[in-house]
Amino acid sequence: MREEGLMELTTSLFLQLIFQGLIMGVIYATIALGLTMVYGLLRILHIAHASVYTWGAYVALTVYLATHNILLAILACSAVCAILGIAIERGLYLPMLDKPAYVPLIMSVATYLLMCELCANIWGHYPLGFHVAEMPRESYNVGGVVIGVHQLTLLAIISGLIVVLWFIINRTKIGLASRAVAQDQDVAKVMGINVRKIVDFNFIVSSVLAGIGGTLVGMYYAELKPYMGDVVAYKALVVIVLGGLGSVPGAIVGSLILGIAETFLIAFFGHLLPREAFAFIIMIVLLLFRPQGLFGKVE
Amino acid sequence: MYYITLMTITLIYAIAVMGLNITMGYAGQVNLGQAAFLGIGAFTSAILTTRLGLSFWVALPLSALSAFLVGILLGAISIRLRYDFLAMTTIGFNFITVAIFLYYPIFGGSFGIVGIPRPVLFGLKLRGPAYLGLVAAVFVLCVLLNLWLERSWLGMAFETIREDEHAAQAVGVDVRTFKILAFAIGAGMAGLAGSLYAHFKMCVAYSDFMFARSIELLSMCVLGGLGTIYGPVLGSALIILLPEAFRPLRAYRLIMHTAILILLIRFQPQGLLGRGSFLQRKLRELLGGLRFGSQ
Amino acid sequence: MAANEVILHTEDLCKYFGGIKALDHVNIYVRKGEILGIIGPNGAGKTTLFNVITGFYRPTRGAVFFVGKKISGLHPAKIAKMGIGRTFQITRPFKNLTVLQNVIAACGRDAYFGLSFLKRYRTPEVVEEALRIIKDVGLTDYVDQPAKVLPIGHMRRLEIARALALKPKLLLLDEPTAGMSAKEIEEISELVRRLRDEMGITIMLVEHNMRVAMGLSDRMYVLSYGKVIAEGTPEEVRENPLVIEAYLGRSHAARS
Repeated sequence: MREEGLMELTTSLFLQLIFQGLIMGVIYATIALGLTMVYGLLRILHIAHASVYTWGAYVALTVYLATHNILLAILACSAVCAILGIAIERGLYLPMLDKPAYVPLIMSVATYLLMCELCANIWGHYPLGFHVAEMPRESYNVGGVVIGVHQLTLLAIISGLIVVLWFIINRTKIGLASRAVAQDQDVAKVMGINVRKIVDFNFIVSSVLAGIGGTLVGMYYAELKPYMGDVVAYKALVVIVLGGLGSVPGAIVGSLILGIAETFLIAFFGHLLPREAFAFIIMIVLLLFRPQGLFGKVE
Repeated sequence: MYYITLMTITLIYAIAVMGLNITMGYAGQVNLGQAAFLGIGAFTSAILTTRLGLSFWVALPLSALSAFLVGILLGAISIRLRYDFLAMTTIGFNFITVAIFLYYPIFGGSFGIVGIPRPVLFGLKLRGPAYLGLVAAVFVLCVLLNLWLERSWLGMAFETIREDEHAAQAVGVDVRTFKILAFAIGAGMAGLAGSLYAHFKMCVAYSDFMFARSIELLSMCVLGGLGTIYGPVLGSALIILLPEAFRPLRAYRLIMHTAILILLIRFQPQGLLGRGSFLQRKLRELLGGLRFGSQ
Repeated sequence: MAANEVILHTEDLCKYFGGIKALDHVNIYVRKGEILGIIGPNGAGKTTLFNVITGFYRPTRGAVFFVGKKISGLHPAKIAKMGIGRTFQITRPFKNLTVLQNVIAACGRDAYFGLSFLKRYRTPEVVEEALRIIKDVGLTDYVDQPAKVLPIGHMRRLEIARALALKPKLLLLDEPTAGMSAKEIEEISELVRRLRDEMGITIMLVEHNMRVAMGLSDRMYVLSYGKVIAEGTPEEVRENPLVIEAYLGRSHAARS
């Protein structure tokens, strides 16, 4: 939306923007959560996470086309993503922990690019349609706000997954152990926590979330592209800085804030600055003046 | 003719990577947005020659200058930033710059700027081998610059900052000024490379300078060996030429190049010419006293 | 013999970190040519004092004056150039540079400001100067070795050599003998005396090793919880009940 002057902010416009923002927010959250968890544990920027997101979607599509069973597709996607996550963790990151930080970063980005290209080679460079019969497409006009059922579905399912994740992190023993490891690995080891297993667990959980997230997004837009991860992969960096590096509640809140803020800024100032620039300018300002974000620790 | 093209592009990248090497290898400041400076140089040169009709020979130094100035900005921002925050800031910088290239009409939008003229020397249009000659000349100039830097107090200051910022301050090195310089010089070199790139390809667009390209430049830098003089050119040569060796598999170029990169980084993270690397040791044995590293 | 002028003094120096008063209204002075010892139990604020003097921390309140000029608030590099050299409690060598390069780095004091940094650093004069300093601290055998291979005792010598290359008027030594053998301690103590006697450098010394501190210092300050609790010659300080109490606790002071 590019407006020449100031737009009038009616209530329905306001609510519409909030709604759109929330949707972008939860989409960002599917990747941001994994990114913040991995950063908290390994201090690595897991850009390759976006490739799990992409591959999850493609695997789900493949299984769906073969079986027409969306649940089976999601199960298959989860399994593959869990394996991919562990493979990246053990094969790429763990051996490189003692190297300077740019080494795992190069590997992560290279892996992301490699996986996207493999995707393109296996499934083709052009967008693939992802039409799920069960996905309703009606929209309703509620007091001037246009709401699509498919939008609500996306919002509901991802929010549900996020709640589950939040529950795991905050209310289970393994979640507690994860937080301990993120805070101080050595102390956690001394307390008898099996750090290896915790890292594995975190990768599995976040990869599954990313995979399911990717699948849902694919269903939402009704198409998959090999580089679909691009939109979220790098914005997720902004989210985790905003929320606080390593903080799960931070990533959730941050995603929503960024989604909503971006939507509003673009609506009103889209003619002044390029849309992509907003998020990253916010990130740099944060890094300079409040690097711990909302919920992070001051180191 | 094909090989001339390859060599030209290798040397152009090598110049940009040498700049990155100064910022990262010598001064230890992580910069994941070097492609942005390449782009700033490229677009400056493109705009000056196509929209303002200036000669290439004026545009070239001005491109280096414009990148240098933006480098000062990034350097100033970098002063307060810890390593990983700096890494993310440079990534953000890359995205912002590319977004600016895409958005403002002066940069030609999605298609970028086309019809960038070849440089003219004594009435002769430089193309093919002649252009390679030009690039090689600039490359040699940069190598000389690098050699001089390594021997100067400036280089010494950079290395102290890389090794230990606090100790550097304690011996009289004002870390703030030198960090700014480290970014500015690295950016300036990339600006030079950018101009050469623009006049080589004769068209530039925002998509040539995205984050993935920064990672490509970084990989060339790391692969060759950070902080070494010949590392950058070896790294560029490798990343560009090696996939060409698998010509029949051209379609899989990106896959090969990222896979090779991942393997090489995994097994020789100090770079091929870096300290203690396999190649450095063998070369030392073979050539005795000759020095390939920064020591 | 050295003049008795004061070359460094602090005025009501305070450094607070949130609620913690690392330095609390500290007033000290250093006379030219003396060896001044700073002692105190752990956490007393000794290293914080050094960090504030050398510009690594900004004082929360108060000021530091060096040869009459106010230096608090200046950038550490500027203070180093003005003639205050320091070593660090946990050594900070330039690990991947050779011992020679480490010392030469500090010889660039004047070159780093203004455009002189464009010049070559490995001139015969500079190398000769650096080698001389390296010889003075006894590291000649390690001249071309990367600093990271040095054992701890030699790393501390390197720190001192680096500080010396600044041609300092005042040298701040932060626990220079920590982790050394008895023989090394003796050698370093000798070196410190020579620095003062032959080169006229004023020295401020933070030391945990009481014998070394008492043996070297002409005068001492005792810090406890950020406050100066005693001042005087080593003999005076040794007998001071406040000092004994700070180190050993009230019961011991009562007994003695």
